[in-house]
Amino acid sequence: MTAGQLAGKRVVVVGGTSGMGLGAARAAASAGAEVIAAGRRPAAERPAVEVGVLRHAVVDATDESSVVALFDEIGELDHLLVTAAPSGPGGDFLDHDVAAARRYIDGKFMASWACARYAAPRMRAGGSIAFLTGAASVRPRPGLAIVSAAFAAVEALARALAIDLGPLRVNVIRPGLVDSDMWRFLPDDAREQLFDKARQSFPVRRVGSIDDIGHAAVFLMTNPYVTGAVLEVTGGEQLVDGI
Amino acid sequence: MSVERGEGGQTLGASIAGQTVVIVGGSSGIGLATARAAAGRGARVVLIARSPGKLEAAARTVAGDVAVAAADMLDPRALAGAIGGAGAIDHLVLTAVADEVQRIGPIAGLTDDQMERSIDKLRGFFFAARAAAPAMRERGSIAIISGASGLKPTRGMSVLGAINAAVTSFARTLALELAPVRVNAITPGVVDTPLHSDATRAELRRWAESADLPARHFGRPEDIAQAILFLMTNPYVTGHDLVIDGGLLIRSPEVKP
Repeated sequence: MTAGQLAGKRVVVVGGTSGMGLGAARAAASAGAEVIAAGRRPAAERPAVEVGVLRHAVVDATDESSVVALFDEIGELDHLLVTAAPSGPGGDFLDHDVAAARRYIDGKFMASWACARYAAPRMRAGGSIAFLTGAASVRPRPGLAIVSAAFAAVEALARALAIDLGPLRVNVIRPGLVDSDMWRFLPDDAREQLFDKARQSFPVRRVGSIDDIGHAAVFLMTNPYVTGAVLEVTGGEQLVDGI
Repeated sequence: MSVERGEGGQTLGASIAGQTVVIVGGSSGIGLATARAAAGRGARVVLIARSPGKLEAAARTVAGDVAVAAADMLDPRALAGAIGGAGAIDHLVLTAVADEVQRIGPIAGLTDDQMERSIDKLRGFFFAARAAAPAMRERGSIAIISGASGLKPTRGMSVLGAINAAVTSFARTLALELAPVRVNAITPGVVDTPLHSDATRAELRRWAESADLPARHFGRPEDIAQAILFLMTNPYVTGHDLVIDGGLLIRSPEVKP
């Protein structure tokens, strides 16, 4: 990726205040874009980005009026990336009720849908939308049935919007294991154990970084011929047995 | 909204400056565009193709550090010599064969020779990958060009489609075998290359820029080259088939009410 390739472009990252979304916000800013990092977290509590131009906005992506207000305030934009996701429901399938399942679908799928719905009319020519899913969309893990279903729904949504919104391009980043805030819930030694296992078994012999995801996000924003695609950024996790 | 400002203009992904990029089939189209993109980012590029004349002419259009080695991809000894001459390899790119469209036709009329020439793509990629494997640097990558006919049945492309599917599968297995070298396939849709005649190119352009193709963009060799450079420089992508087709493969058959 050459520097400055997003110069003059406005990029909105919903979920851009932490983890992979933050990696993407940072990558887009360093490629020269004006970046708006939107999320629930108040601006004062967010990690600094320290590259390019970044604006902070607060949105609850599960609240339609909050999403409408966000894009009203932003106005025209070039690229939208939605990485926001609620935490998984925890426990087993048989512990969940419809309300828990619906909360996840609202936080992942409906939030992605709503951001695309209210951003698309404001997008400039040459624009793109990307969503973030995860390997669970095709390789489920125990207890994550609703997460798998939501990710698969987001991937189907991307393909459908590539048709509905063309020539706007719509794609998906499907990350594998990435060292981000998402794993903070684990005690340090358990997290390090998980990452060590990954380093031993993944073809690339390392754990992904949020910058790897950012690089992929900028590629999808800048390549004019990629649409309706799922880009796996997984270190080859899909080629080996699970860890 | 609160605003934060910092230093801009950093390069994303790993740098390929000073690295050796070997491109088999680099005298036109996607291969040549990749050579220009890689040389433009400071790589040392080695172009390998059959015709010395075309290679020299192609190399003259590449600004930067570029060397050529003429070898027929189907001559394992000559190809191994050309690849060996490059020394340690950071990135290997295997691109499509130039006269593919001459091998399109209904199965009943396909000649033995057309069938063999289609299979040559896999043969040549095998010879190249086998010769390069021991010379690949640990943090290097291989990008292998497949084709949309491998994923979507296309009339007249029974053997070509089967070979493209085989080429993608070949890439995925190499990703496992050659790890931590990263190996990916790229499945381009229709691309504006010398593969097509001028008349066909004009017709394809009209189609690609109409509502028939979601991206409404006639894919350029540079678009595919950008994707290949992305795969070289992103350290966490391997075993992937990157489809870059303007939305060709997600379209439904057109049924008008």
